[in-house]
Amino acid sequence: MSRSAGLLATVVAAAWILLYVAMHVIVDPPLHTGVIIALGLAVTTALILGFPSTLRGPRDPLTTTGRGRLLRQRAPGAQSTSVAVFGRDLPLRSGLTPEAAERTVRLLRPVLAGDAVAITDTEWVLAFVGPGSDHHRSGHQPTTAATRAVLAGGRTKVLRAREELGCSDPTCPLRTAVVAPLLVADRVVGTLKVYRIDETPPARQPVQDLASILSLHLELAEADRERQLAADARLNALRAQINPHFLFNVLNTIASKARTDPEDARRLLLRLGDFFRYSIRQDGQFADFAQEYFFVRTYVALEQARYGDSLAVRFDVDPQVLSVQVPVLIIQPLVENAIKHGLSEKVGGGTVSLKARVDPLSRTTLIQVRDDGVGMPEDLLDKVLSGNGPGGGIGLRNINQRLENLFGERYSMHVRSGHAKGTTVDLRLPLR
Amino acid sequence: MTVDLAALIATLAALTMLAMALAVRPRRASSIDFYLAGQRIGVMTNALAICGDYFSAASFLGVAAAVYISGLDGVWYAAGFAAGFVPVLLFVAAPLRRFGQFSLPDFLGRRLVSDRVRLVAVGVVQIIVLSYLIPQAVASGITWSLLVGSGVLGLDAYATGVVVATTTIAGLVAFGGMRGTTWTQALQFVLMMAVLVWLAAVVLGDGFSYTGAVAELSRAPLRNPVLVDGQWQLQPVVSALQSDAPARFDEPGARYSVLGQTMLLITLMLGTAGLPHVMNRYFTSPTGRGARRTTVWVLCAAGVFYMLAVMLGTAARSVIEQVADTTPWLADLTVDGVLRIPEHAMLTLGRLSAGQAGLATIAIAALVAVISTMAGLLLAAAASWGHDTFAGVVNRRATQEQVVLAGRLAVVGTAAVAAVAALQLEPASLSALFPSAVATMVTWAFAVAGSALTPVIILSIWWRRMTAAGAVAGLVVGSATAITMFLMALLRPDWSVATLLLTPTPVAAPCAIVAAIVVSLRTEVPVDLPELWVRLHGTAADRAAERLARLTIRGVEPHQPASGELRVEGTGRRS
Repeated sequence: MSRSAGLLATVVAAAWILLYVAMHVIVDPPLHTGVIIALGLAVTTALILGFPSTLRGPRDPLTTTGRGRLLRQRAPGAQSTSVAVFGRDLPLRSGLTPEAAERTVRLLRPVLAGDAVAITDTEWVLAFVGPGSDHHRSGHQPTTAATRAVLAGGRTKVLRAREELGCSDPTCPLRTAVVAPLLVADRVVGTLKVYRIDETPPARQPVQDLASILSLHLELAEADRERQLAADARLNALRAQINPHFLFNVLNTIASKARTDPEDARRLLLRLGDFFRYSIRQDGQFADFAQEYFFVRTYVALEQARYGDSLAVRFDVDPQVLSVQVPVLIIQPLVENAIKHGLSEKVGGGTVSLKARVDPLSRTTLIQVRDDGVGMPEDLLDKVLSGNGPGGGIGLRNINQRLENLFGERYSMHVRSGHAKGTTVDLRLPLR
Repeated sequence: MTVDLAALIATLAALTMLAMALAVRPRRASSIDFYLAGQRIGVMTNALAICGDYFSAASFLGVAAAVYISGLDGVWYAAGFAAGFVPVLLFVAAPLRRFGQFSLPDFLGRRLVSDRVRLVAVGVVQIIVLSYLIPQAVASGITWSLLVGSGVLGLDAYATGVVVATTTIAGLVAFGGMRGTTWTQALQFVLMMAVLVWLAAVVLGDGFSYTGAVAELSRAPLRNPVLVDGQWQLQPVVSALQSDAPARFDEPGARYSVLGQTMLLITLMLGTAGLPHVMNRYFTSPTGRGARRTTVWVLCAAGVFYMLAVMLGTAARSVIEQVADTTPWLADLTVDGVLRIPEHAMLTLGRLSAGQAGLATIAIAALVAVISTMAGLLLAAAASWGHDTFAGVVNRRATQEQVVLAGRLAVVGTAAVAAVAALQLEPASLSALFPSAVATMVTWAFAVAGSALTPVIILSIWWRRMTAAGAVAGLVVGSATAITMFLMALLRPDWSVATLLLTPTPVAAPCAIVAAIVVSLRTEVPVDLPELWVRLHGTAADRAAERLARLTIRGVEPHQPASGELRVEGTGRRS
């Protein structure tokens, strides 16, 4: 429990005590108990709704949502605050978009000793704030030749005279400027421009520093995007990777049934169609549990056609789980593992059970896949978990990695197994 | 039989039922398929689970008590509790499910794209949960004092009941295993209903006639016990409709004037749609249409339940009056054949009908009602504390363990506050102000829910221009108005309008609506409104879900006997 929550509890408790003493002991005759309780509840509610911000300790006004207003009250040129601006939610952290640029320049203008601030990418002005915004508009091409020079050269330029700015509008109030490049991996992706309406140009160093901090954020954004792309690519690869053995087995089963039981064979083919349609149709990392459940059922039906009586499957699913969003292609591979590694080698077959619950207290989804098959000795389990296990397929490690990407620290996956004891996989996923 | 034996039986039965409620899982795991397909049995399961959450001790003991003490005017509670699902059916159920969140604050937060709305909603939910918990704790105290009759550790019987019930349930919810699953709640409702039907059957079998009893009871003016100078005595009840005429059992006026009756009904009707623990379960239905069908079943179940409760309240009045002189143990509880604490009506009737075992059965059903409702409420409170408040605001980087810990502390804290409040509000001291303490106290929760949450929810669902700021304004104005009216009634119980102030929804809800609309019109709607709107009201997702369900079922259709290999799935279900 964090310190602030403890403080909250203390404050609430103190409020109750105070209220009791004030209303019940000091006041004569004491107030009605119901009234005291009602007052106490009102105070508690007010404390809880209004206090989190106070409890978090004195907030830096620059990182609050009202930062624009607060910043404007400061004198322009207050350089000392510039570092504080770069809290974790600086807009450009999400990439160089017009909205992010707009928010960034509004944020930066009071900090920099300039009258107007603009951000461009390589082709367009993304945002412009300050005098001259009537003709220097976002969505237009930059009018100054200097911008093109900085985009080409990648070096900061100080423009000391109106002519150097090269603005075509004769009424333009802007006189001097500093143009600094925004770099991602040594590639110029845009510029940060600071203008003044008097003859002294803005100081070069702060602008350059800010530009390099912004560049850093842009690089981080780029890295984020790449990570996301990689995760999506992994998932797509996973979708494409339907185990060929599974396909052969199903096709063989269907072939053998085509003569003895054509109706059943047809039904299996339809199921196979459902299975493939689902496994390639989806995009995105999450789906309703109901959909994943359907996918598992389809898969199980196909496997049961092959294994016959030796494969029994139990489903124990609370309806509350159905509408929960779960990561795609997590449950089916677990069931597949249970059948393939747990039961297929066990004489006489066995049972796989899938259990799913929602815990409303911790807001987690609990998914358990259990088999009573051959299990694995401890050293093999270690190998499987570290990704060195025998055979291909979608390993537990792969699943674990995907969950880690999606949930960070907020999930848990436990695997229990032992020789001839079966295997149990417990997943605990946070609700989204 | 001695009281100790009754206690023993009751304890044993309660333990068995608790074990059942906690441990019994559907053996036929494939019932999920019926559920998915939206077939009747699945919808029924969810409907019964909603009933399990909804029917609390207020319904089980309170409605009968209200009828017992004020005749026809007590029936309005039954009517209002049951009718609460009509607005849910018409305006809330299907869109709420289609939007698909986990709780009411979640829904408001996502629909209006604002964390602030979610937090304010959490605050309102807390108030509702607490005011709903207190009468449950009171009811468990009453049940205990009649069933066991003695306290432990120096507490009196009532206090023991309150403390035991709240600690047990808080412990179960905070540290128990699987909580509040659909089947547990459904099973608890079935138990409650079974007991009610059993008692009705026994009473009717003893030759009780409802119409006859009402006619008999209405012959003389209604007289209820009042504590005058430390002495209990029966005094005639003055009609609230005609100040010079006495009230009668089968006529309105024993408690409420025309205005009071209307306000009570509106308060109860609007309240249900804002009860967090009930509405949370609506997100469980497979589709929006399923949610609506579920509500129809809930309405049916509620109708039957409350009809029986009203009948049993009448039966209690008539039967107890008849046998009071010849039954010595009634002397402590009654004044000239009328119970001092009306909540004892059902319990006493049970004992009269089937001895100590009957008393124990009714008591257990009442405790089950308390357990199921309190568990739902505490979970609603815990989830909103742990998830919305703690993880959402106080400590955004909280780990799962911390969130659970916060939730557990919230459970314990909420239960403790409820218990303390219940200890202060011993029902005997309240019966002067209310027809039935338990039923009336539950209306407080309904009042806050109906004044603050329901208007905001309905506006969010049906009005495109609703904004986050509007919702906050509506929630704050609604709950503040309701609570203010309420406190005024408590401070000045001698005012002529005090009873009206206890049912503030007809005043507070319009205030909330006006506030929400005015503020909304001055602020901007979220940018992705069209998308949100389609999620709320679009039926394509419904159809997709139903198609998927049909596909799932197709896989487990019984196959022809010839296809031996596919029979295996049957094995899966049998196991």
